[in-house]
Amino acid sequence: MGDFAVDPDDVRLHGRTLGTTVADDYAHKADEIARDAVVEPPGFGIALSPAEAIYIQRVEFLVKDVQGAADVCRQIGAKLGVVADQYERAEDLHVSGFGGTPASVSGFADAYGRTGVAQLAQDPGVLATAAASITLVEIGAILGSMSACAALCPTFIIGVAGAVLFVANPVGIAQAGADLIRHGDQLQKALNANFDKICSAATGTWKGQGKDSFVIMATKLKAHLDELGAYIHTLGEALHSLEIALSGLWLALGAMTAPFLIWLIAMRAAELVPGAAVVLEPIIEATGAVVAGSVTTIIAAVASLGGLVLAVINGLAKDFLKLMALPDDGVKGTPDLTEFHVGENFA
Amino acid sequence: MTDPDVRRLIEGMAEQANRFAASMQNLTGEGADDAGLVRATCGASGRLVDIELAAETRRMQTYELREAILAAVGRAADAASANLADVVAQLTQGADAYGTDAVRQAREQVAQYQRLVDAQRDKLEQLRVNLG
Repeated sequence: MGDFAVDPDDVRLHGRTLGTTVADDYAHKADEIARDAVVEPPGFGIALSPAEAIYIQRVEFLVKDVQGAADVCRQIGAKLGVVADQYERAEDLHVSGFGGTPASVSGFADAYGRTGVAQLAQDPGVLATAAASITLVEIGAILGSMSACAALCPTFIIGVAGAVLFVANPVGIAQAGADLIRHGDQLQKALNANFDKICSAATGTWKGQGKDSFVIMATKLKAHLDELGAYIHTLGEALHSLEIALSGLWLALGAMTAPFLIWLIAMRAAELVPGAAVVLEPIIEATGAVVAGSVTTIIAAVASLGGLVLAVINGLAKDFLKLMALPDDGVKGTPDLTEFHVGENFA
Repeated sequence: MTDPDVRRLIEGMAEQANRFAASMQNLTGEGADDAGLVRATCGASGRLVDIELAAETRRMQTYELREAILAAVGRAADAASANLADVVAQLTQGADAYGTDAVRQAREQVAQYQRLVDAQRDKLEQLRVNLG
């Protein structure tokens, strides 16, 4: 065992902060992500439902990862408490060995209890209901115009059939995307930074091999937590791109459908004049085919982009829980402090 | 909910359609036989609406008169059809008159949307690169 120095109260204090305040921050963040990532129906739309399924799966994994960060912080807090107790116990042995009166020291259960592990109660049922009705109303109006166009011009039906597959909830997607970007940034810039700060503070008066092991572990964990924040940010960015594409799709459809519908109404009115129908009908059908072709072209474009969104979301796969797990070869999950090398005589 | 611009557009379209329909009712085509003894007038549908026979036609044989009438009516119907085509061309290609052109508008939207999708594709590709 090397040279070491420690202020057990200082280590215990920061361990408690990690196990309560910092851990709770991560737990709350996990709840917020689970709540804010929800995209109300119709979600991504029928055509992009495979991407939505992957998205939901990834969100669940990332939420569990953030919850895992909270659990790891609680474990670290508990272990730091035990570390402090072990150092104190050693000192007490020395005190009693020379005829002094040792101070009472709490056991692991007490130390673990102080970290707030009993406060694990979460409230996952609080799922916000996004108010995305306005855009859905607009989409409904555009789709109604397209249906009217199809009624007046049968060759346009293919355009309507394609567009229906992309009836989505752009406002909900935009909100979820913005929230995920915000949560990802907060994880990196606030929560992880705070974790780093508390870990550094915990080692302020601590010196020795145990401290070195702790610093290495904390540095690795901080790197994983930052990567986790970046993943959540990227997921938000992917949603943001998808929302821009879907909103742009419906804006474009609306921009091309409104004048086409009005033109169709005028042409059908003109057809009421005897003899005009024979001349106008081919013109109407040809124009309808061109506009329907334009619709299918932009639908193909958004479908292609949806595939890329799916690929990006699918790429956000990493087993953070495994990476962040602390080494633990104790009995029934009880930390045995082997990673801190406190001293086998005092376990 | 109706946007003032949309309302003006709709009103403009309706006015144009009414004018078009009215012009269609008055749209006719005239034609005559080679000798100019028979003059026919046809409506937009090709229906014969009037025919004038010169006095000389009284001395014509019935088969000669038949040929003259058929020629005059056929030419009148062709003229009516040509006039109708002109009006329809004005209707379908007169983008300025209607404030918009459905086909041109659709193509412009496609080009604009393609640019939007390309920009997002570049961004997503960058995200994939950043993920490694």
